[in-house]
Amino acid sequence: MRSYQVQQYMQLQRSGHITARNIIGHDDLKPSNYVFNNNSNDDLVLTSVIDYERAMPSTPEQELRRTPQHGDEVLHAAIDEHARLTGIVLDENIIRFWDRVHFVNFASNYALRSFPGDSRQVLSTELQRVYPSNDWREVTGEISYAYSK
Amino acid sequence: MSVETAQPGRISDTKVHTLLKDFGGSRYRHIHPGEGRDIVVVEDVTTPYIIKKTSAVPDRAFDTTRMRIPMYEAGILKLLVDHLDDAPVAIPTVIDEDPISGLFIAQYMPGITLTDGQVASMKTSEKDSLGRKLAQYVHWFSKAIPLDSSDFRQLYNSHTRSHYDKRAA
Repeated sequence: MRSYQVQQYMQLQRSGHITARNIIGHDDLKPSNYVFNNNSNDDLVLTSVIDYERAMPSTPEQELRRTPQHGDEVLHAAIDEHARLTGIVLDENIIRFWDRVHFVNFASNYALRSFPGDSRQVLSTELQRVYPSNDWREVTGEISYAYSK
Repeated sequence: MSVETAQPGRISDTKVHTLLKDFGGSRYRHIHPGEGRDIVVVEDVTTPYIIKKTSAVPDRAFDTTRMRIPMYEAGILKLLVDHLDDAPVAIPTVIDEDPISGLFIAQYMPGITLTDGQVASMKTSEKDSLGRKLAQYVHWFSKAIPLDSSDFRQLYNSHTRSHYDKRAA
């Protein structure tokens, strides 16, 4: 799986689909860093973003990499809004690609035991999302199965 | 106030006392005890603030409040502070700091956070709003701190292991 990701990255880079980092970004946009309004009678609206300790050179596609996990409505609304603001239409496949890269990074760090033990549940959830045809609920410390896919 | 025994979803007594030592407080209270989440508020300081949130979030939400942040994050927030009028969402600001001891406190951000699954099950209109807000936020952030910002470059090189020029290449 890892070598496939590297090959895909190289192909995308050669074809010009992946650009160099062209913005400074938050780099950790995810639900635990989204703050919503707290009125149960209203629609949920993003009111704040927290946790800026990973801000770094990035790209819009990398910044929005978690949106596919939230659903196509979020992904497509983000692409539409970005186009309205900048005139640039982001490629959703590149956004999805960065989502997978993030997952592979997480999995490899887990394999290297760079994360604490309680990340097992997170890894299991991520595996289930990326490979829904398998049952990953019983994932233990071994993730060789993931790499063999 | 007595210190309650650590339970699942609660901050341990040891952790509480470590944090209290950092913050110079001694009196505190738990919020939402027994609901699978736990927040500790320090009360005997100038302005009460929350010092820690749990990582276990089995229910819909937990509060996010004033928090201790790293020096690098404080530097980023200071770079953003001149651009808050145009921000699509509220951005925390640094409200207290002691650089010598490495203590930085970010502003209270009222609201709730959700799990991945809860975001995925939001209503269509809420998802549309979220996607647009995220795009606005990314665009605003990129304008607030431009790629060629010398202030950011200096901050990044001072606080991270990788060098900005290598990272940006």
